[in-house]
Amino acid sequence: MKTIRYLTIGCLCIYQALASAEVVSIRFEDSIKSNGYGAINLMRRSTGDKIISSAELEAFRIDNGGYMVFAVDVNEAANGTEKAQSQGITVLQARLDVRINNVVYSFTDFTTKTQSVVAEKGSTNRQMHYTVIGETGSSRITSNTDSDIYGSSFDGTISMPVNIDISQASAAYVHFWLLDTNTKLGDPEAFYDFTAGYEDLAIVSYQDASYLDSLAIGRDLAPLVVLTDSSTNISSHVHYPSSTDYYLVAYEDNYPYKGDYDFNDLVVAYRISYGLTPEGKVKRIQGEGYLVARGGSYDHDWYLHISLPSQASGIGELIQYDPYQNQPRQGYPQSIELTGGLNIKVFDNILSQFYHPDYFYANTLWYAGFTSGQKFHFSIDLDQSIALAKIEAAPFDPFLYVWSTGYEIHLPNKATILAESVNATNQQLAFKTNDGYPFAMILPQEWLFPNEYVDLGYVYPQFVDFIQSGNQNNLDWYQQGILRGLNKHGQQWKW
Amino acid sequence: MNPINKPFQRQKNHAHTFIWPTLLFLLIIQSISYAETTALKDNPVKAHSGFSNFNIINIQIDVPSYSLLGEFRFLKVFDNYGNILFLGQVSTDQVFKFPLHALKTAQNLTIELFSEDPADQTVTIKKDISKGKLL
Repeated sequence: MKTIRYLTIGCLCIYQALASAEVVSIRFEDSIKSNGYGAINLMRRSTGDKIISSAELEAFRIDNGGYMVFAVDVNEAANGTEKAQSQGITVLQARLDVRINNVVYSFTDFTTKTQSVVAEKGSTNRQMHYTVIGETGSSRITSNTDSDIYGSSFDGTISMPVNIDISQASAAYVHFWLLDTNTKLGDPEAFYDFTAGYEDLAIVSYQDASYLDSLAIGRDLAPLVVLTDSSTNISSHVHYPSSTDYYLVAYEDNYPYKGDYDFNDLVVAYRISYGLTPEGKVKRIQGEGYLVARGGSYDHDWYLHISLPSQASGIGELIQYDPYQNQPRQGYPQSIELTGGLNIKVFDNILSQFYHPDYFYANTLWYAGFTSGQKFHFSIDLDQSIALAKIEAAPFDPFLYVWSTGYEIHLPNKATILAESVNATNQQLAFKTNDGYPFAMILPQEWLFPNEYVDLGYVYPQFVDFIQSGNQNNLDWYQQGILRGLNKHGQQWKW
Repeated sequence: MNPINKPFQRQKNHAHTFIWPTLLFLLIIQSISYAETTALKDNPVKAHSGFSNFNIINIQIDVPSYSLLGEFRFLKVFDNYGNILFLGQVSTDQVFKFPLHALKTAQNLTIELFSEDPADQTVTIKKDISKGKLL
C-alpha cells in the first residue's frame, strides 16, 4: 500500500514538474530537403546532447492545448514575386507518427495560418492548399533567450492536433510533403513553389508560436493570400506596371534649360501596388524601387506623389535598404502620416549616398564599374478604403527636387507640389523644353539608359519616329538601341 | 597674249567650274544629313507627338455571370509576356472594374477567373490590346 502511495506521489510530482517547467522551443536536426520532403525525427535536436525526450514532447503538446506546433524557416529562391522580404511554400501533406508500446499512432490533420489556390506541376487546375510564408535573414527576438527561435529566422507555423498522451513515446517522426507547383503559370504558383530548400523546422512553445503568428511575416507582399482564421481586408492586388516589372523614370535636371538629352541625370525604378478589398476598393498603397543611375552633377531629392481624395487619411512606413542588405538603413523605418494626397520624399540628398567610389557619377560612365543603388519600400494603410477611380492613374507623379537650382521637375502636365520650389514661386508650370521635349520620361524596365552626354535619339534611332508618330510606329524602339552608347550593366540595379 | 598664261587661265576657269557645284552639293548633303539625324537636339517635337510607352486598359468582369461551384472567386490578369497585373480574391457578387497600365508592345491580356473547387474549370478570357483599346 505504501509503495503504491509513493509511486502515485512520485508520478504526480513528475507530472507537475513537467507541467510547470517552462517549455522552450527547440530546433530539429532534420529539415525539409530540396526535393520537398522531410522526415523529421522529433527526438533529435540540432545542437547539444541531441536528445529530445518524449516527456519534453508531451510538454509541448500540453503547452499548445493538444497541438504539436512546428515553426518553419522558409528558405526559397527568388522566383515569381518571391524576394527576400516575402517568400512562400505550399504544404501538400503532413503526417505525425508516434510509436508507443510498439503501436504507431498517426495524425494527418494540420493547419497553417494562410492558404492559397495553386495548381500542381503539370496541371492548371487550382485547389486551395495551406501555405507558409516567410522572409530571408531576419532575427527573431523572443522573450526567452534560451529558445532556439531567439535570434533565428523562423517564419510561420504548422499546427497538428494530437489527442493522446505522448510522454511514453519511444519514437516520433513528422513527415512533410511540399506541393510541387506548376511554376510555368507564374504567380501564385511560382511564389508558393519550393526551390532552394532546405526548410528548417523547430518545435515551438505556445508563446513562441503566438509570437511568430502575430508577426504575419511576409504576408503583405505575398500574392493571393487567404487567411485561415479570419477574413482579410485586403484580398487582391493590382500592380503598376506589374508584380515583377518596374517603371523607370529618367530625368534631365537642368530645368528650365534643356540639357544634353542623355536622360540619365537621375534614373529611378519604381512600382506601385494597391491592396484591394473584395469589393475592389483601395485599402493599402505599397511601393518599392531602386536608385538606378545618377549622371547629373546636381544634388536631388526624389519624391513619389499620388493624388488622392482630400479626405483620404492613413498611416504607414517608409524603409530604405543599402545594397544587398535585408535590414533597414539607419534611421528607417520612418513613419508616414497621410492626409489628402500621398507625397513621399523617398530619397533625399541622393548625391551623398549614390556614387561610384572612384568617380562622381553612378553607372553612366562607360568605363566605370557598376554601383548598386539603395532600395526602398513603403506601405500605407488607408483609414477608409477609396474607389480606384478616385486615385491618380499610373504612372503617377514621380518628381525630382534639384537642390542646386531650387526647381522641381515633373512629368509634363503635372503640377508643382513643393511650396518652396523656385518654379512653384514663379508659376513656371510647363515641364517641357522649347523643343517640346519633357524633362522626365517614363520608360519600360527593359530600357537601357544612355551613357554620359549621349543623346537618347542617337542611341535609339527609332525613338524620334516613335514620338513623332504619336506612339503609333516603332513601339519597341527601346529594344533597338545601339549598345555601344548604352549602359552596359543591364538590370543589375535590381538586386 | 602671253602663251604661258593660257594654261593657267584655263586651269582657273576649270576650278570655277568645279568649286561651285561641289559647294552646292556639300550644302545639300549637309542639309539632308541634318534632317536625318535621330538626335533629339536636332528634332524638335511636332504637334500630336507622344511619349507614352504604356496604355491604360480598363478591365471590367461580371463575376456573378460565370457559374462556378466554389465558395470563393479568384482573378488573375496577365499579359503575353507573363507579367501579372492583377491577382487575388474578388467578391462573388460584383461587376469588378479596374484600370491597368500595360506595355504598348503587349499584344493581349489573359483574364482568368477561378475558384477553390477542383471541379471548377478556370474561366479564361483573352483580350487583344494591340491597338490599345479599352475593354
